[in-house]
Amino acid sequence: MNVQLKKGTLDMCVLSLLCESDKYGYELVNRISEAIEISEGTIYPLLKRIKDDGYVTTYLKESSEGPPRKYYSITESGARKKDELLDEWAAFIDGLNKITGLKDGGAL
Amino acid sequence: MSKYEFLSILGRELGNLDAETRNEILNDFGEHFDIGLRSGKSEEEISRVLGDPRDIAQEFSQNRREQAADTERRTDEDRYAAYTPNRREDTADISDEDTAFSFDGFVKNVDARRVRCVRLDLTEDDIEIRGGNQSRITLQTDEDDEDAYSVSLLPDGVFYIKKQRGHGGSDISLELPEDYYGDLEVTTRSGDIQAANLSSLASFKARSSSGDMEAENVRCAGEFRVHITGSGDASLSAVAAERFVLASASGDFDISRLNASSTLNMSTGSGDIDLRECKCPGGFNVSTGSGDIGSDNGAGQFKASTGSGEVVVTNHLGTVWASTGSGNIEIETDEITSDVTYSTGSGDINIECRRLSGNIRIASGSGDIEFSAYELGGNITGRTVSGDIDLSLGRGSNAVFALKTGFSGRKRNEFDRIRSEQYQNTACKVSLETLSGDIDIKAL
Repeated sequence: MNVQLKKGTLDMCVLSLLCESDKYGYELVNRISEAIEISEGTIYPLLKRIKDDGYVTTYLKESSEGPPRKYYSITESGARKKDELLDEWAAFIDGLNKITGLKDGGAL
Repeated sequence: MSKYEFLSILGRELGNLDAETRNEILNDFGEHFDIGLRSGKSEEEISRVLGDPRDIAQEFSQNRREQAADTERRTDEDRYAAYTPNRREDTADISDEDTAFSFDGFVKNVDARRVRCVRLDLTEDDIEIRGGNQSRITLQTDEDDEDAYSVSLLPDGVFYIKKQRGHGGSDISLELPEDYYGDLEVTTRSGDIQAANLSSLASFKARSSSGDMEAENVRCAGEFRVHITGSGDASLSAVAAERFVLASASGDFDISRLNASSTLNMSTGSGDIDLRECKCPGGFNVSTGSGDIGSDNGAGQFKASTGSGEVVVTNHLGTVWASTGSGNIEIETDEITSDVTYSTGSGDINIECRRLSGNIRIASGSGDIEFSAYELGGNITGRTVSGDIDLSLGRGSNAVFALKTGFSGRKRNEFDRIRSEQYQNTACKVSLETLSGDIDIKAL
């Protein structure tokens, strides 16, 4: 998949996963790389960016195995941002389908 | 790529960010590796799927630039969101730090993620620093007066421990996460310093006067520096760093399995220097005023000088330079590739190499000279006043000889019989001279 396209959609993936529940970095990376082929390391700059933007916060939580882990938690503005991005994405897909004749995201 | 390599490169590439941000990022990746390793993956596998640390660093830097440009355009709403008090991390940080005082000493804990530099300023205390399987930095001492130390976490991430005036020595131990990435600086007067099991320091600095210094299993991405201003000895084992700077006024150095990715500089006033299995591609620079210098199984260009001691370098890979005022020089290396001079006032010189491709000069005042090389590709000049000169060269060596002895000396050269033809133009020149000794040249 195109790099720029992937980049934009990764924000959406991370925010969506964090809407389910708080997660630590490794877990997020794992969940995403299971579904989409990425260089795993790129998730961390993304996490740092959305944290600086106030979409997520972090906290440390003891783990049953090993040292405490850094958990990411979505903020209200993060949840709003996710809805916004999903709306934009849906509109984009709609437009794309009209032009290419593909249905339901098809073979994108 | 190993975890250490990955974090070293990432740390270096993030050099343009402030230390706090950099450490936060390195901690995140450290955590990623740890969890991956626990789930049974290898360091290699984990770093491969993470991608090139240089690219990752680039993205962090790009974030930074975009944010700077973005700040102007931010809406009030976003601005508010970024500062909402909904930050659980802050409260977690505070409860992470705790201090317990009791009659027989005290313990202080601090979250290692907040620390980018540990600085100890001690006097007579013995300090033991070790890495362990934990995420906190724990300071423990048997000192029962809580005013004996000032312990603080400065806003710039410096965990600062200072012994107050008027208190005697006590034992301190400091435990760090084994993969603590940050600086470690220890200063003490007469106390001993021990450091062990730290796998990813940014840099290490130890300074003492008469205390001894010991380090084992320590790796630094940057510089490893030891400065002993008095008589303390230093002993290092299994240490790695980008470069080493080791100095002592009169102490000895005992060093084994040292790895420098660039250079090693070490000097002592009157102590001995003993190196075993030390590798240093950028080169060794080793000097002592009156002590001996020894190295076994080392690799890298090696420059040794001593005022009156001897220089013994055995099983070495790389060119060795050596000079001493009055001691013996003994060198055994695979190859001498540069122009080198070996000199001593009154000692013997014994050089063995497999291949000589530079020009060498060997000079002793009153000692014997022995030299051997299987492959000869450079000129040899040897001179002693009263010693003998023994040379052994590979049978196929193409050389022309100019040998000079005094009236009582004997000359013997096996190559006189071996050579059928002479290649005068390409031959190496062997010029040897002794005033009262013998010259003996053998074919190997």
